[in-house]
This record gives sequence, C-alpha cells and structure tokens, in this order.
Amino acid sequence: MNSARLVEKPLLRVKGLKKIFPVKEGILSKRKGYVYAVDGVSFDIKRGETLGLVGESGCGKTTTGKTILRLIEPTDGSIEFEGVDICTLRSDDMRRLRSKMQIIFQDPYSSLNPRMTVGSIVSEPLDIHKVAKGSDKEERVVSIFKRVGLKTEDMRRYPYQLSGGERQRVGIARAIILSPDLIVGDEPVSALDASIQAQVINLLEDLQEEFHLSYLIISHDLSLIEHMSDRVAVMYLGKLVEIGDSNKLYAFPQHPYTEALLSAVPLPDPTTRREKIILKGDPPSPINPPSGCYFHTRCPYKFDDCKIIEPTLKEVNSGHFVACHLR
Amino acid sequence: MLLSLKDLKIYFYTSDGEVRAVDGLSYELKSGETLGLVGESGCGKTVSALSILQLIQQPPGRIIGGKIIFDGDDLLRYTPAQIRKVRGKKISMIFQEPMTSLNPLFTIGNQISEMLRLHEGLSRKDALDRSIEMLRLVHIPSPEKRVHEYPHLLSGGMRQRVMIAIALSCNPKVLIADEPTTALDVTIQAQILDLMLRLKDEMRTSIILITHDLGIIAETAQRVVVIYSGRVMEKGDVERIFRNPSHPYTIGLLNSLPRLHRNKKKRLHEIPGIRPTYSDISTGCRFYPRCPHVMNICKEHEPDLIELEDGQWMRCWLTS
Repeated sequence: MNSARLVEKPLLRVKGLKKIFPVKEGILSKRKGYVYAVDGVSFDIKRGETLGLVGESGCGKTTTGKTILRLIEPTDGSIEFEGVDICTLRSDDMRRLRSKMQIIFQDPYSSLNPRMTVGSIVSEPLDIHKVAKGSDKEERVVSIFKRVGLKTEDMRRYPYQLSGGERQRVGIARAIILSPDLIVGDEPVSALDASIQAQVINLLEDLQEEFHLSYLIISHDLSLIEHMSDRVAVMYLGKLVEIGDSNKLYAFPQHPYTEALLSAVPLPDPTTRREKIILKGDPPSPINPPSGCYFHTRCPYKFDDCKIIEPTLKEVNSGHFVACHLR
Repeated sequence: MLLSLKDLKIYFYTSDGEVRAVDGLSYELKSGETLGLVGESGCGKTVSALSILQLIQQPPGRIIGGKIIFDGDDLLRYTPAQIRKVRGKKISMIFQEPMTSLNPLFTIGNQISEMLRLHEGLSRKDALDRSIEMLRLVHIPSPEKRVHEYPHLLSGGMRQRVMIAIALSCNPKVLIADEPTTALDVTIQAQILDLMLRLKDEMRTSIILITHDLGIIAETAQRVVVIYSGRVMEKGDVERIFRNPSHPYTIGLLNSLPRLHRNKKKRLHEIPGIRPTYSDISTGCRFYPRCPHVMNICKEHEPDLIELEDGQWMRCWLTS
C-alpha cells in the first residue's frame, strides 16, 4: 500500500502559491502596502487522503483553501488538479472542473441561500452542471438527503427552520452531490455544539471512505485536525512552517511554533499536568512582517541568525518538512 | 458559601411562545475556587450568570422564581441603585467578545477610570494612575502610552486583557467570565487563562467560568456544573467527574471530543439527535430522547438531583 502510494500521482499539487492583497487607506484609496496572505505555499494531496491545515486566525489558511478552488484568484504559483494547472483554465473549463472540487464553509447559516428550500439548494449543482433532471434528479437528491442523515421531508424546508447541525448536513449534501474528488472543509464543525460536532465529523469520515474523497480540512482546532488528518500542515503568517505525517508531527513536533500550539491546547483530563509553553505577544501584522524567520519575535529558542535569515522548508525525516534554523 | 443560586427560573416570552431558558437551576460558588459551568449553546449557562447582576432584559425575560444569595442578601431583590453598587465592585463580569464589550468612543484609561471613580471615589488623576497600574498588572506593554489609546488600536488578546483590568480594578470578590477566550486564538487563550488564574490567586477572587470547552474546565476549575436544557445534570469535583463521569450526558460529552494524542482515527462517540427545543419539553428527564440508557420511568418522571457522595450530585434514574 505504501509503495503504491509513493508512485501514485497526487490528486492536487500546489506549488509556490501566493496571494497578495493590496491594503488601501483613506477616501482616495491610496495604497498603503500589501498583505502577503499566502506567501509561497506548496503541498500535495493524494487520492483518499486528508490533509489538515492548521494555524491561527489571519494566518492565511482560509485564503489558501479558497485560492485552490479559484474562488480567489492566486497572485502566483500553480495549482495542478489531476495534472492540469487550473490557473490556466478559461472560465467555462473551470466551471466544469468545479464539479470535482467542492467546499464546505464554516457557517452553515450564511452559506445557504435563505430564500431557497434546502431541497433546491442541494439540487442546484445538478442543474448548473446539467447532470440530471426530472425524476432522476429527484432520486439523487432524495438519496443524498438520506445519506447525510437528513429527513426527506426536510427538502421543502428553509435553512432557518433547521438546526445548525442539520444546516451543515445540507452544506455537505450540496458538496457531495456531484461526486467530487476533493472537498475543502473550512472549519466545517467549529460553529457546532460539541455533541453535534462528533456527528458531523463521523459523517465526513464515512463519506470519505464510501466515495474515496480527498479532504483539505482547515481548522484552528488541533485536536480535530489530528483526529481527521493523515498529514498536517502548520501555517504561520502566510507560510508553512511544518508539514508531515500527522502521527509523527503530533508526537514529535519539530517547529517551535507547532510545539507551542500543541502545548497550548487545554486537555480535558485534570490528572495530566503539563508544562505549558506560553508564547509572548501577539502574532505580528502580515502587512509588516518581521525580518528573517517570521516566528522569531515570539520564538523561545531564537538566536541571531533567525532575525536575519529566513529558513526554508527542509526535510528532517521522510516526508516531514520543517522551516527552522534549529533543525 | 460565597454565592448561591437556588432553584432559579428564568423564562423568556417570545413570539414563538414561552422559552424556559433556566428552569430550576441551583449551584454554589465557594470562596477561592474556580467553578466551571459547562453545557451546549442555549442550555442556560450564560442566562443564569447574567441574572446574578440583574443583566437579564425584562421583558422579554422574566425571573419566575428562585434566589441568588450573596453576602446574606438575595440579589434578585436589590433595587437598581443597590445592584449598581455590586456590579463591578463586588461582582464583575467579562464577556466573550472583547471587540464589542469595550466602548469604541472612550480611551482605555477612561473606561478603567470610570469604575475606580464611581466605586472607589478616586480623583481623575489617581484613577488614571491606578489604571496604568492595572494595565501593567495584566501585562499590557508600555501602559503609560496605551492608557490614552482607543480600543480599535488593540488586538483581540490585548482587549481581553483590558477587560480583565476593568473587571478586577475594584478588587471584586467574584469574577464571572463568560467564554473569555472563545474568540481568541489558542496561543492567546493560553496567555489569558494563565493571567486570569494568576490574578485570581493574587487578588483572592473567586471565578465562575462559563465555557463549552471541557479542556478549559479540566485545566482551570476545581468544581464543575454540567447543564443541559436549563437543568443541572451533574455537579461536583472536576477531577472526580472527569475521571469517573456518572451522568449519560456528561459521559457522552467527554467521549464525543476528538482528543489530542488519543482516539486517532477511531470513530467518535456520538450523542444522537439534537437538543430539545423548549416547546418539546413535556414530562420526564430532559435528556431521555438522546440517552442511550433510557428506561420507561425516564419518559414519565424527571429524576431529582441527588447527592451520590460528598459533594457529587447527579440527576438520573440510573442511580436510584
């Protein structure tokens, strides 16, 4: 299985992805500077694999997810999906490809049209891509509703009449109805209560197995990312600082930022007392990032080089990359 | 007992009918402890805490019954003038949204000084000096400069530090913290929790900590109250409840969490169904529609909250 995986081409290959937003100020919209929201990010996702993308708010993880689907146009870099660089596709080719790559958003309320019944929300992709109509369409929608654990009578209801968990199931049904290969889940359960989170996580995992889906799961929740991911990428100020196999990365974090993140997670076990690494200060502004390693302003192990030389991702173990001068 | 809520009932009257947000809730805060209130959204944990300082808007809310005993008095019977003397002075509160709980039109110094001048009768000058001292206490860098700044210049973590500075400026006996770190990033959350616990010991304040995060409860609280649908399901010592939860709801909650360094790729335990809407509640235990151990009696009669052993309470027919 492992050797087969090595030769297998990745479903998605992202290389040197950049997204730069101009920052404007005042009534004349004078350009004040640039935000490097995503600053040279590269990773692969294999078929059937889950890559977890973790980082704090504003680090660029959501922009990365949206850029991969070209919901935001990248400034630079390439995004290869099944070997095709999607950045070069014209809009109608891109639209056709979209049936293969879907997204689930964080807030299941604002991402569903309040004036459409949830039945028509879920069937709309079938209309847009002209894959089914009439009774065939009806059948597919019914079977998807059942599959994600919604009642078929719910099809006639509006989003406001559903609970948060049910709305997220609608979002999932809409994403999988075209049998995509890749799903980007942007904080797919953070708006839900704990008891409902488990239901939705289990559903996502079951669907992955059933339809052989690849996931890019974006979250700030390290426990969720560990639970769902085969591999994990850690992002800080627009750059990946560490990427590798989930088990190894969680057991032996190599980057000081990953280490601090993991130690900051409160554990629901009062008998384990851990020494916490409490980082000082706030993350720096992405408009005016620090010199050298972006993390040096908060890093407990920084030395002189860190302030001047920017570290690049280096392979420390097979498949485990870290951007740190210590390694 | 420093503060106790006894059989508190708070109902809201909305266009959808009567909502029993808090329905016979009792819990106590001991001097010097951190008490965790845990439960899902809408379970009544925040409403019960807001009512301590008479912060429930009436109407649509109405306090139907119960007592909140503090310093030997029932806070619910206080006049507006009386409760104003308690707010911020003896009992303070910090909220989830540090963005919206500071006034954008006043400087930070102004907002801390307001408390000190009102409750402690300090002069403008003395209040400003104390404000700077408070900012230093909560580790705001260059407090002499920050005190003259407006909230929008501060990050989320810094704003929550300012909220803590305001809340603790008059040395209250009780601090109510309602999801104080939910809006913050995990590394900033660790800073704020560390700060709160350190100041609690230094200033001998007791804390009511409201959160949905069982990890935060485990790491900060000594006792915990598990609330479901306006009722206490289980309460007692944190270590005992986390090691040996008794109520099916508590067990379900603890098992449903993805945990760091555990359960990897193992299916999560689900609590089936959704929480009841308030109009669903008729008879029996509030949790029975989702309970894996439901029996006939659960559907007909609601169990009482009974003491299992010293200080450990539970509401479930399984124990009786």
